[in-house]
Amino acid sequence: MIRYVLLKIFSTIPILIGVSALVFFLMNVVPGDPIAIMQRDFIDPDALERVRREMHLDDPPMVRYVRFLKGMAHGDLGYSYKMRRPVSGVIATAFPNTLKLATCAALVSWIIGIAAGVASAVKPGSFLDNALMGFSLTGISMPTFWAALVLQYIFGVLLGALPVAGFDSWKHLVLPVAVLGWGQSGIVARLTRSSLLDAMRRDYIRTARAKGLRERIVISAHALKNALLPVVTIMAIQISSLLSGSIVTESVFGIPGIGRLAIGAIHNRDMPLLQGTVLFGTFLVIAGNLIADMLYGTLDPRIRYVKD
Amino acid sequence: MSLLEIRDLMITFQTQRGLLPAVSGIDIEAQAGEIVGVVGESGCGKTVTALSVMGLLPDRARTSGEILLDGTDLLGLTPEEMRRTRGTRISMIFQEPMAALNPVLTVGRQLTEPLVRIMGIGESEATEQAVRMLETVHVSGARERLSAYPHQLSGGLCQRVMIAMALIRQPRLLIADEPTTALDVTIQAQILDLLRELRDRTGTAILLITHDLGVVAELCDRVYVMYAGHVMEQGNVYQIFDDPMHPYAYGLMRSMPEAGRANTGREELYSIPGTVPDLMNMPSGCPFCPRCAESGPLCREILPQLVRISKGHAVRCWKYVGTHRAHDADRTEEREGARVAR
Ligand SMILES: Nc1ncnc2c1ncn2[C@@H]1O[C@H](COP(=O)(O)OP(=O)(O)OP(=O)(O)O)[C@@H](O)[C@H]1O
Ligand SMILES: [Mg+2]
Repeated sequence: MIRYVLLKIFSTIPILIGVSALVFFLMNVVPGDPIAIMQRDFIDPDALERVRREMHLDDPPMVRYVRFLKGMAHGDLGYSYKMRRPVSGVIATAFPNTLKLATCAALVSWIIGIAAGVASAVKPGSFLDNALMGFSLTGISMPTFWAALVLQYIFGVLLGALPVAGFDSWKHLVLPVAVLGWGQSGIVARLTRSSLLDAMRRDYIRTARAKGLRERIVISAHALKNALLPVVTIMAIQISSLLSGSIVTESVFGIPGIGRLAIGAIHNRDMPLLQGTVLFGTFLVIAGNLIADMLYGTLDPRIRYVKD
Repeated sequence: MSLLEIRDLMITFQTQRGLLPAVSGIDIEAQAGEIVGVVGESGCGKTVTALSVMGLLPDRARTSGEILLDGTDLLGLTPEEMRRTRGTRISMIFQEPMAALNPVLTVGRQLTEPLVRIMGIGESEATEQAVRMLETVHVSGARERLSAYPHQLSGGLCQRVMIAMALIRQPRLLIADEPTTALDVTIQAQILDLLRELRDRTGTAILLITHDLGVVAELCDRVYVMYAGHVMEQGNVYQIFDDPMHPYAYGLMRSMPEAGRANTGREELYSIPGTVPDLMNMPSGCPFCPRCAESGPLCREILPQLVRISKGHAVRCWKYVGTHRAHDADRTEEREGARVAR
């Protein structure tokens, strides 16, 4: 098991390098110059040229990339052009906000998603099932920015009940969590439903009923335990992608998190910061997959058996 | 009074194509301590009958008739009463023992579950009972097995665990639906021996469902031969095996490789020509008629009654009507007879 985890961790290194290369060179083909954007009003060409040289932006891309890789190997993600601070520090300040938003959204989506999935699967085809699945599908298919705007309009503008932007109190969390949680819970609900319906058709459910167990126990102790295996995997991947920042939600609600850092970095052509946020996200997603993998192994005795 | 008495049981499924009569009025009895076989080709309604006794048919099944267990009509029970009956008075084991056990729960957990969750027995006492039960079904190293998961056990062991699980609350009736079909031959024999031994020791009646006549010959006291949702012939094993009367039963016997006879391979196995009729479009007369070499014009029109041949032996075939008395006329007499015979 430990060997397996170590192997997985080492295998993430090439992925990280690959992603960084992709981001790095993509940024280079995009027109626009960080210096020019940084100093829009300052148009003395000589000065710009000097700053460029100081920041080594006149080196060929390959040289700069190798320099960046070297830094990364030492845990140094570089210096943000715009913020004039180390990228790791910038990420560290923004992360708590994203963390708060992501955990709340994940908890909401899991609790609602699993409850809705179970309620649907218990009476497939019923009114409740159709209503819940319709609600889930809406959550999944609705564009985030649109859902955000609608909720902002209803609760912020019409009712005046909740703040539409900022991140100062728990009230500021409600709308962004609702937007993120709706979409994510839809995914969890639909997966829980189909997985539970599949489990309920199995022979061991008939056995559990033949024992005279209450239907509630048949579902919770027998069917759900099997049905949640794939759901747990999705949940681990979900939380990792939520933690790497929700660009749209954070932008619309003005939350100073990782997602907003990334979008800001794109606007400002702030290469080091953008790379930092993307790599951070990549790392989280890989970690999420690894955790999902290990969780699956501990929850499903058949898999544990194979690995040992 | 019989332990189990199924009277005129009809089971119909509502399907997209229309109503499907899976079981069309069967009568089956089992006395305490008796092993009763139900045989017939695939799709004749054996499993559905068993599930109706357990109250485990899907919602789209419609049932009529009576299923008396110790005189109580199970079909008249509320779902909650039926749930209390399962596991305590009747239990069931299934064809695929591996799939019938929950893959993510330990054997111990699955064995003790009904004791702890339903009867409220403490964990440690329940564990002791589980160990004793596993020893009863001859599982070696019983205590260690409790922490095993089903995938770590062989099919035969899984079936022993299933049997232990089914008998842990000492039911009066055990329904075994093809309990050995998925197992290889030597394991099959061991499981059959175990079932016989448990019957002898505890007096539990067993309703044994199978399409394997060898299993019936090996284990059963009495047999019902089913075809397309009807009982075609019934009798004790000697009557059925030595003197099959219905052309279908007769054909089944001939299609069975005989253990006693030296099978040199010269003789090709007999198989009944034709296929089972579509239950959706059943012929109006005898369902076996299209495949029967001896059928006459009457067979195509009207389904005959069960005709009594001798005590306990009855057959549903026009060949015997008139020469023998119709079974339905003297059912009560026959039931009395069966009880006296015990
Ligand atoms: N849930 C169901 N819905 C609709 N029809 C069903 C259902 N279960 C069984 N049937 C039908 O009822 C008939 C009897 O099925 P059953 O499973 O009792 O056969 P069987 O005698 O046990 O056969 P086998 O030897 O293959 O197990 C079959 O025609 C089958 O298609
Ligand atoms: Mg069957």
